Amino acid sequence: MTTIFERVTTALNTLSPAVPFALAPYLTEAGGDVPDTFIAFQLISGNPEQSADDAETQCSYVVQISIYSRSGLVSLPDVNTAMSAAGFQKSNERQLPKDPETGHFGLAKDYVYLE
Amino acid sequence: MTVRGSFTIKGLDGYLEDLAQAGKDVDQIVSELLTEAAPIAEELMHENLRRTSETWTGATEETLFSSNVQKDGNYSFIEIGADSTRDFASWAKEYGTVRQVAEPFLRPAFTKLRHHELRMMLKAILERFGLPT
Repeated sequence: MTTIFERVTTALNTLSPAVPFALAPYLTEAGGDVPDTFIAFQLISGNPEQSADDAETQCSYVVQISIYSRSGLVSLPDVNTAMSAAGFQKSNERQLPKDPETGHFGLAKDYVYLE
Repeated sequence: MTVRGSFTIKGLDGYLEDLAQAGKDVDQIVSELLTEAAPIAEELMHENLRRTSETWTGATEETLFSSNVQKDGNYSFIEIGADSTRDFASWAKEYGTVRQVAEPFLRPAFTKLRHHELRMMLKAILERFGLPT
């Protein structure tokens, strides 16, 4: 069975040009700097949606994709297209405060997957 | 593949007539239930917070709030959430930062409220009207 993490990884691998991404937190080697633009994703919640005969038949997953960029938020990877093509539905998004240590701006986007 | 379907609910006319004949103030009942629901909703956030926090400082917990019942026209509502203007920790915890993984406590609480508690409230409203649920 394909896990939700595999689905997100498959979707983000289709980004062109490629953008470094990882399951949050985005780790670097000791002392290493994070890339100028990168993506961190994580599962926010998995929720049972439907059951039949004492078994779950449908559930939804909410996944947060956080896009970080030092050059601002005007030009960002087209995550919407990649995630939509993988069957995710776009949900809420919000700007994250600029990180005072790394200088990254951030945009967090939620996607829902129903299976 | 797109799956489409439709469903029909019958018998609502009878329900509405029963509600009207019950002679009770629906706004009053909703207001009572919201007042009872506010601490439950807030406790849900507290629970999530305690469960997801890898380290505990208590900073985020102090930002949690629930309001009294408010009205805007026909809408009765309460506000619940975390006031990140008091402490940024709640924002960072919910959504994460460059170096910090998110430990969401609000969104899972709202999801549970929508999925489960809202249904319970609707049932409670009907029960207080003395109607079958």
